[in-house]
Amino acid sequence: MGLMRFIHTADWHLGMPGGFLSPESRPRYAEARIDAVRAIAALASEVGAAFVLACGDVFDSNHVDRQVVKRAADAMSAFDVPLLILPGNHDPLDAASVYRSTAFTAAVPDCVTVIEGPDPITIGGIEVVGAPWHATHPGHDPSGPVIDALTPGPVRVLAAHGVVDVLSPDATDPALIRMDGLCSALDDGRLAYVALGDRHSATEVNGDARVRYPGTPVATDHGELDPGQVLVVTLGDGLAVDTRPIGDWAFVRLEFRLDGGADVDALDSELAALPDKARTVVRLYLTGTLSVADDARLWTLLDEQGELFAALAVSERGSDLAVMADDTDLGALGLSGYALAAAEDIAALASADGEEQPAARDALRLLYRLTRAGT
Amino acid sequence: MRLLQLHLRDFRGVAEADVEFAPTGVTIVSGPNEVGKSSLIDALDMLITDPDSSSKARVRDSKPVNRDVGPWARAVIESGPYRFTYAKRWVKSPTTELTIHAPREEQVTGRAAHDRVVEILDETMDADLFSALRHQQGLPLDQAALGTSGSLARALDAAAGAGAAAGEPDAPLIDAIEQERARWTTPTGEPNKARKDLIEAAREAQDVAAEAEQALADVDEQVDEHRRLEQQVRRSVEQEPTLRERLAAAEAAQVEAMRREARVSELEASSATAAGPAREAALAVERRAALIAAAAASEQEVVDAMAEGAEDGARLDAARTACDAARAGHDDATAARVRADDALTAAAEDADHLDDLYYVRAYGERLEVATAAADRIQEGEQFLADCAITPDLLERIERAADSLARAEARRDASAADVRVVAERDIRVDAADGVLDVAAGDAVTVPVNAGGTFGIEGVARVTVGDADSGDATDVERAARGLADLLREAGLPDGSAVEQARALEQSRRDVEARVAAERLTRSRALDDLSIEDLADKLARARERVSRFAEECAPGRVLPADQAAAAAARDAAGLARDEARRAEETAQAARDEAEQAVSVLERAAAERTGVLGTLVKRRDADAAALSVARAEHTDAALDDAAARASATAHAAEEEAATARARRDPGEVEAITVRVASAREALTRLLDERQDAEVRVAGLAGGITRAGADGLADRVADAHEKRDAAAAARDRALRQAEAAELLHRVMLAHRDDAQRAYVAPFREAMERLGRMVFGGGVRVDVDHATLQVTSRTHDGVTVAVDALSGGAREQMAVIGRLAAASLVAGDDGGAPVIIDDALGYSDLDRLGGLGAALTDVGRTSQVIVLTCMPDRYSGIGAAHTVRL
Repeated sequence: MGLMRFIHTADWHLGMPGGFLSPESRPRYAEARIDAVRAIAALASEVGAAFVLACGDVFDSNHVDRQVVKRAADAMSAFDVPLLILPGNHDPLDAASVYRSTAFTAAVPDCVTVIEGPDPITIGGIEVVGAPWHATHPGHDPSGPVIDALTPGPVRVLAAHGVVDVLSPDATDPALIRMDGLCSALDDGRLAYVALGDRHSATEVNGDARVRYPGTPVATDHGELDPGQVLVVTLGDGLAVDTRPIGDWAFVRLEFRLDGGADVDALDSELAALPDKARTVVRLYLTGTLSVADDARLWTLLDEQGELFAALAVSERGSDLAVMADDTDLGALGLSGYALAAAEDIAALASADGEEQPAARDALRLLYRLTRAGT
Repeated sequence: MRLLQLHLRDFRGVAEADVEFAPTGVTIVSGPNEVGKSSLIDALDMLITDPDSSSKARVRDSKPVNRDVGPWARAVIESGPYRFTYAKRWVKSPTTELTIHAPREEQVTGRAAHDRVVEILDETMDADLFSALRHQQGLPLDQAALGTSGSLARALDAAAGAGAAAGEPDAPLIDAIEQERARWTTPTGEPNKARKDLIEAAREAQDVAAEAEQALADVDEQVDEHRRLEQQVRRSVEQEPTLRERLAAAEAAQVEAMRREARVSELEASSATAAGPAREAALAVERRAALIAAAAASEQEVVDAMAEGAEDGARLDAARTACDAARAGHDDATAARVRADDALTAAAEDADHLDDLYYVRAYGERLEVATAAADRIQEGEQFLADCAITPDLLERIERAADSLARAEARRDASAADVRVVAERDIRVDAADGVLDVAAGDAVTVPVNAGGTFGIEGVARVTVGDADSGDATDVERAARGLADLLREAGLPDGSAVEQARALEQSRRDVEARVAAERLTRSRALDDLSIEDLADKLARARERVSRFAEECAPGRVLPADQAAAAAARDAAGLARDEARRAEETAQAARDEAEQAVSVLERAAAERTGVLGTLVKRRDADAAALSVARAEHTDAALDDAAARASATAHAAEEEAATARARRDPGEVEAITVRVASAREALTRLLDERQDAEVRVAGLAGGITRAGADGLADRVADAHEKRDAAAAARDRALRQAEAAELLHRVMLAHRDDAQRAYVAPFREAMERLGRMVFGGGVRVDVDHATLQVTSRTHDGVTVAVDALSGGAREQMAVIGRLAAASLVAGDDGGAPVIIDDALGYSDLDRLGGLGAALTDVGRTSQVIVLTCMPDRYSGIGAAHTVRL
């Protein structure tokens, strides 16, 4: 038996809205996802894959704009090898299925096969059986019956979508894929590899190299582990899985404690050091206490850095940054008399927990701005 | 700063003046005009301000006119920790000498000395306050410009304890805050249009997003529905064979049950068929029995009728005999009655005749009497008709006669008897005749008054007055009497006695006529003469006719009474005969009626009998015919046989019915219907589902082209952006509002606190000058009084009288001086010839105020009228 190779990918989420991005970044982000399709096509040729298997959520929704469908179909024509698409929970094969829309069927190239049922598809010596989703909430694991119907025989790959029970905190979910079932099928030769989709982090389930999520080829959110890649799977002489990078978008999460001007400087440096800012989405979690002046400086630098990044946001829920006005601060405002007394009052409100604290912090910033503007 | 001594030489018009000032308290420098009081202060100014080299106009002008000397001034001054003697000469041989005594001895001259003093004063004196507390002669005494005094401000700050800066140094900041606040808030603190717009925009974006989400949710719902329906169709297809089998089984069972049911029906039909002949045979037996009964009954009726007919015939014969007897009795009675009638007629004729005879006689007599009376009545009536006298007329005649008698009596009373003695023969024509009187005779002639008599041929003698009334009255009365007598129809010359006789005659005639009328009336007895005559004629005619008609030899009753009796007897006999006849007639009628009734009955019976006979014959014939066809026995036999047959068939059918389950067919029918319905419903529902699937698929496909996910994403972005913009604005608005609120609150507090000590000092001093209850409002920026309230009346300071304004200006300076301690930039209050407008009372008050402030501050008063300041208690007085 010769070596048999294919590319395992999933969760392309074409047409995903980029509401978290700056308006300027959104088209670039959408384009990056289409570009990823072409990159995968190129990689397939490069590694000599017999086919590419996309395990669900190729489209973000069955209701994506038809322009997205057309552009996706156009990108798919870059494939020299068959592209097998398994409908997932985002793009199930229901009445509204994007795969049955005229926009898709009219434009999709011949190399694309949508897996609509459990009938096996054999390419390059590998038999692929798929468990497509027919509804967003099917109420059961679509792969269960497919596995049960298999018998040992050819080198077989199961294409499935969903959460494997060992990864889920909710063991009672009826749609969970049973790891036991997968393992016994792998062990008794009914399956050689389980190609999963749904999880955006690249994952080897339960440490079993035969059961894998490739992760999304272009990162979609903070907290994803090793996104931006596909798996090159080689069968025939045991199993070999190679990870290959595709997308270059990054979601960065930075936690900072700011307790003085030096910390603000450090934050500034760290942000400046981040590479590839135009494709980087940064979320900041800021805590600590800053003087009015440092606080003003912080926001100025965030405004300036924000221009460079695809997105730069301070998490409101995850941040707790206090603004304290000390004597030096207030002195720096150049205030005297009652204005100074008023500033002190507002500073007190800003540092005390109370209903008016947020407004007082803003008022302090405003006072700072107004007095600075005057000088 | 305190001025302790000032020494001038050759300064303007002052050759030499040396004044010592009390370090605290009031120093009054008095002297006449132009003695150099103001020069003192000008010199102090120059000393402090102008270097000895200055060529300013006021410096040049300070040189005494026409004397070639340089003006010179020297002051001993305390300021802060410093105490120094400072002297300058300007214009000529300018020099500057400074000797500092404290805190350290120090000698400086020239420009360095000047600079050193400037330095010391800068450090220790508030130039603005110094200038403000100083009043110069000739200028109106207005409120001091205290707002710029740093030391006063510090003093007020210190007093207020808030560390507030004087005046409004932060006005630009307040402006900026207000501008910031105005971005989202109206001046009254309400959200402004921009903020409202953002809120509205966020709400609209939220709505749009919700709408888009709903559209997507709708499609999702349709997709779910589509899937459910597809599953339903699949299940339906699976269920269809089962339902069809169930229907087939039910239908087979139904066929079997119906077959059994048909058998029962068949037997019931046979039973019904057999029952018919049995009923008919039974009927034939019944009909035969009826025929027999009818024949017997009609025979009996004939027998009964004939028996009754015989009885009736006997009764008829008896009736006829009785009837004949009654008829004969009636005829006899009639004959007797006719005879009685005739007898009565004859008796009546006799009686009438005798009556008529009586009438002829009686009527004749009465007619005679009546006729005679009538004639006499006519005669009387004729007399009465011709007679004019009436009782009334007679009375009038009586009265006229009386009148005449009385008139004559009156005339005669005035009459005279004239004695005429004839001398010759004469004829006297007197009233009562002509008298011939011969000569020598005498005659007496009575003459009425006025009466005349003549002596024919001799004279006409008138006695008395011929025109006297008496004679006339007589005449008139006589004429009246004559007229009435004529009216009574009496001839002229008649007397009253005749009238009376005539009246008596008339009365007699009247009585006679009345009597005759009574006589005539009695004779006629209400008849007329003609009627009576007629009656008489007719009675006579009847009498003559009776005579003619009367049978010869007819004997008449003896008289009218006998005739009447005979007639009455005949009447009674006739009545008796008539009653007998009526009785016989009734008996006859009754008998005839009885015969008639019986005869009619007999005739009827004869008819009835005929009918009965005919019916009897017919019934008998019918029975015979029937029996000829079937004998009675044959009919009975046939009926018995048919009844047995029918009974057997009924029993068989009943047995079959009893064997059958009555509910089976119904149950099976229901089962078949139910199975068929279930199948139909399955197919119908499937068809509906398929139609709906097709419809939903169409809608879903169309929705697919809308890019709903992108629309939702877009709407979410816009919603989030709008919400962020709104929240940003709200935060900014809140921050600006808070800042504005806190800042303004502090400003107001500060301003109030800041001016409080100054205001209090002014009010305290004001009470000394104006009396109790003075209040002032002080502008916090200029520290000038804006209004004064005294005795409850508030007056703007500009509206106060000149005197009050002047006093207010002094009080303001004193208040400021009292607040600023001498060692913190304090300066003396200098008043140069002021208070010209103040009355003695107020001057006294001002004196007290000056004294009061003098306890802590230096007060210098320059005046040409020291009396004005006599109210100042312990003043150091210097006279120039």
